Amino acid sequence: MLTTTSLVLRIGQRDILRDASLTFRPGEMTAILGPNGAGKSTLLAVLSGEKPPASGQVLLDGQPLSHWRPAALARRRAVMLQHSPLGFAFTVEEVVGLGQSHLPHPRPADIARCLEQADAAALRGRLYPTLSGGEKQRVQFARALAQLAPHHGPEAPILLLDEPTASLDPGHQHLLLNAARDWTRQHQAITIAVLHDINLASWYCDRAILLHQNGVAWQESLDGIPTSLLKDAYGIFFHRFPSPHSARSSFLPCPAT
Amino acid sequence: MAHETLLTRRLPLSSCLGAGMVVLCLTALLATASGAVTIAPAGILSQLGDWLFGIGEPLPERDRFILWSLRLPRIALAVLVGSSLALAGTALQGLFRNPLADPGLIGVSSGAALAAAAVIVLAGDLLRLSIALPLAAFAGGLLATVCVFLLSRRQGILSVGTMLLAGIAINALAGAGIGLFSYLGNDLQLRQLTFWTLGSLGSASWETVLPAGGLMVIACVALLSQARKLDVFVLGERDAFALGISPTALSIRVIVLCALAVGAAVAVSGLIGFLGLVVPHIVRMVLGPSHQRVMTASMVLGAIVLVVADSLARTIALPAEVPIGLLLSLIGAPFFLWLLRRTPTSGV
Repeated sequence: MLTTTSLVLRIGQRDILRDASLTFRPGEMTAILGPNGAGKSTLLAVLSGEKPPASGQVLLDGQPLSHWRPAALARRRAVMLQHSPLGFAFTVEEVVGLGQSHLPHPRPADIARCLEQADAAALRGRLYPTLSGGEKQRVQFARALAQLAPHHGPEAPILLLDEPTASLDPGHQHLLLNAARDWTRQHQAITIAVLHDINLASWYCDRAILLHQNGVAWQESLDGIPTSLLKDAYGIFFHRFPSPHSARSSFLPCPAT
Repeated sequence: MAHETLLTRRLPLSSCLGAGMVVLCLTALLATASGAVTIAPAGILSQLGDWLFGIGEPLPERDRFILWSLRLPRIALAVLVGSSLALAGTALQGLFRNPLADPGLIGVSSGAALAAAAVIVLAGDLLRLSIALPLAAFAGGLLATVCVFLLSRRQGILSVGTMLLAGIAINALAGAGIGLFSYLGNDLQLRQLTFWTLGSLGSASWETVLPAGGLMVIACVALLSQARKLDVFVLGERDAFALGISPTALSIRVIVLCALAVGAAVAVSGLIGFLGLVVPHIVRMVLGPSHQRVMTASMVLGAIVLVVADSLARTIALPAEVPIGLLLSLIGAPFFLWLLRRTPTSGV
């Protein structure tokens, strides 16, 4: 279980999040939503242990994240960042294999399976710097999955995704989030994704944390969110309607009203 | 950034290393044989057999002296300096996440040379300790590396442009410092300083090779053990942390070890540039960018290049000797320009 108690995040002198107490449960996929500058990526960096919070704590299995050794944390949680610039000509398989640098040797079977899960098997043998932005993102997703592949035991693995669909075409946006959700269910994992698309968050995530005005404005399923809250956060109205393909709500932005 | 590889299929490391070692032994043997006095390679082998196993015909007294006191320490120094500079270049390129980093270009070598110059002119008494010069050069190199690293890094992101510009500034500063010391120094000190700025293996003797060589071996072994971490590090500092590596600790370790390897090399051979740039680049084209492969292979190729270059420097204009630093810059500088042209602007 991953929890935060009275979390305060600060950038420079400005508090961007005050007194956030959040709980992330195994088997659940959570979206982090919010307008630009609301602190979504900062929250993710704090949940990953990369940045210390200004005050409050992040607890993993009841232990403050700051007490975890980086190497122990790496066996338990993986992070996929927005940009992973890499100037050296590693192949796609080598990049995914770097996700397993906590093992004595990367395991080829894991690499093949994770590339398959990220729909990146066709990229095998390509040199990473020659890939397009979206292709790189799929390889990075496979690398994050490969990092957690050796994890066994009762504790939930943790997958943190920072705008994982930013450079993907619509088809791959759905493929990636679908894969992330299947993986979350299968491994009873805790998955947290920063997303901009409310529909993707609604269809694929069990619940959404909406950051607005230095606080957590919502942290349940988007099916129940008052649309006025979305208007407050994003400045435009969202029309909610039932999805033709899914039991979850869909949202249509209506800038005029 | 330059990411073409020469070969679509990467060659196996073990056969490349094997071939490299054979070539290194052959070039070392030929380099030992050539010079103002030629000694037949067969004679060298039987003399080595006599020393090592008590079998084989010893050489005449004069040849034996040349072999033991002049040629062998010089070959040993070429191997040590060549592999240390190539390995430090590879590690710095990993640390800066860019194939354009080189101990000479970013000012590590000139920082080391400046500290060595300061010791020669201001504290000549210290020179009786053969470890003093390598240690001073280490301190100078360390200071320069830390400066360049901190200057070219903002919020965890390294700018290659700033790295090269900071290197220019540090090289200029160190050059001015060495100039000042040459102005202050007497004739003897001036000659020693010239040796540093041009680069030469001519001072090789067992007394200078062994202490500096010891430092180089320690630094190289420790750097090799960081290879896998460097692979992860080139993904970016944030990714490295997510994969369980503390970026700050790794940066400090690599900076200190590179400064030690380069400082010890500079202390005994002066400024030898571009080796750390050219050698890893060629290795990457053949073996791919994995640091374990590039680091070990670069050491072997660096040793070969310096042994060959040094025997050319010794024999090309007999009885005079061309400074090896000049020779390598003549080859290395055009190579660097070619590399810059090939690199898309996004990389810099």
